[in-house]
Amino acid sequence: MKANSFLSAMGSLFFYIDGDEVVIYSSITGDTHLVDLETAKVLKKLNLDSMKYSDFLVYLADQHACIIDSELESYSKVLIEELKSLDLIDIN
Amino acid sequence: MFDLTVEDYSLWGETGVVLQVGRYRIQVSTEIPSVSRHLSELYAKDCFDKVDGNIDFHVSLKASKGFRRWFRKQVVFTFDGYTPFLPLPFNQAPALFEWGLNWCIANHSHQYLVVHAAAIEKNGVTIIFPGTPGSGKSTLCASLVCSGWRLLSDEMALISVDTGMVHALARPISLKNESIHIIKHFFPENAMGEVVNDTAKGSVSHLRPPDESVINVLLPAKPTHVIFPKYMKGSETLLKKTRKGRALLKVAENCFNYNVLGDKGFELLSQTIDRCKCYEFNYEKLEEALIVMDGLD
Repeated sequence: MKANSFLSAMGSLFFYIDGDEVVIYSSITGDTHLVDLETAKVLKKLNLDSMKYSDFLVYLADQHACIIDSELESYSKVLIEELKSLDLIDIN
Repeated sequence: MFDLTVEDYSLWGETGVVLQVGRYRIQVSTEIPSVSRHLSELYAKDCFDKVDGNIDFHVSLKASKGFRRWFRKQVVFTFDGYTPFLPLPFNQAPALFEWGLNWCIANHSHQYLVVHAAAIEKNGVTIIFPGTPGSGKSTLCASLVCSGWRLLSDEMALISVDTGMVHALARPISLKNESIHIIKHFFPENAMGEVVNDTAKGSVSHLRPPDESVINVLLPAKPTHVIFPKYMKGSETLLKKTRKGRALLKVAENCFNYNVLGDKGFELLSQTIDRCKCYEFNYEKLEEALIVMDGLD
């Protein structure tokens, strides 16, 4: 993943929050997914603002109150891959 | 049931009879006696007398043409001149009418979120039972309406996009295989149509809805409970709360037009789930199931 890769939510996303679980509806695919609250927060952020991968790492570090290191980078890549496979985010 | 003569049957074939089902008006043309009998026995007289307004669906059931008139006779369902299904064996004509009407309503009712579910109401408690085939929703629904609950619908819960209320259809309840015998055993006084064997769904019969449900068919109901029934041999009667997010996901999977409505459908479903109590319900013994449902508030 390049630092200047641009991440954005695919289309408009809609959320139903049930405690630590969130149902997400994608207007692009018409699919409904159940995700955990942390993942939903990421998607909500990307639904409002597109951001560079480097900024995304800063956002994740802030969310998890940690520094940007290789562990956070690995986690971010897994997360991005998973959301991309569900057609919930777009990478340019 | 009201009396029909042979002349009546042939008249239905020429001009069609108009049937009022909830907010829908259906013009049915048929010369097939089993369909006419099905309509006269399983639809209340009110459905024929209180017809008002434009026709929503023009449907016909006719015997297939060609050599199939003599060899393994078949029946063809048409909707506004269009044939959405392959012909079926002639003895399945009454069932084909009901399945065809399901198709008409499910595909032309986007003023509603159409959920594959039974829906019933009693004293302000309105239960939506989403269910996959074999879950026992129709058996449970039939038992409850034979025990004083109002039938809104056996097959499709129609949730208004404008108001969030469930609108009723009060059509005959489709029973399959073992559930036909169960309902006949527990409620022998309730009228049922003929049993049609060897359909794609096995043996099928229809239970006439209570007249009170038909009389009150235009009264919408506010959904209060979403319950996922599961008939299980040997199961204890168990009502267990389920998480709302998961309930939403399961109901979405059981909608006919969720994707057509798009984000409106999601928001309507979210609001419906939010205001309802959501449960999973395992049962085997109907008597116990009825007591549990009557105890809901």
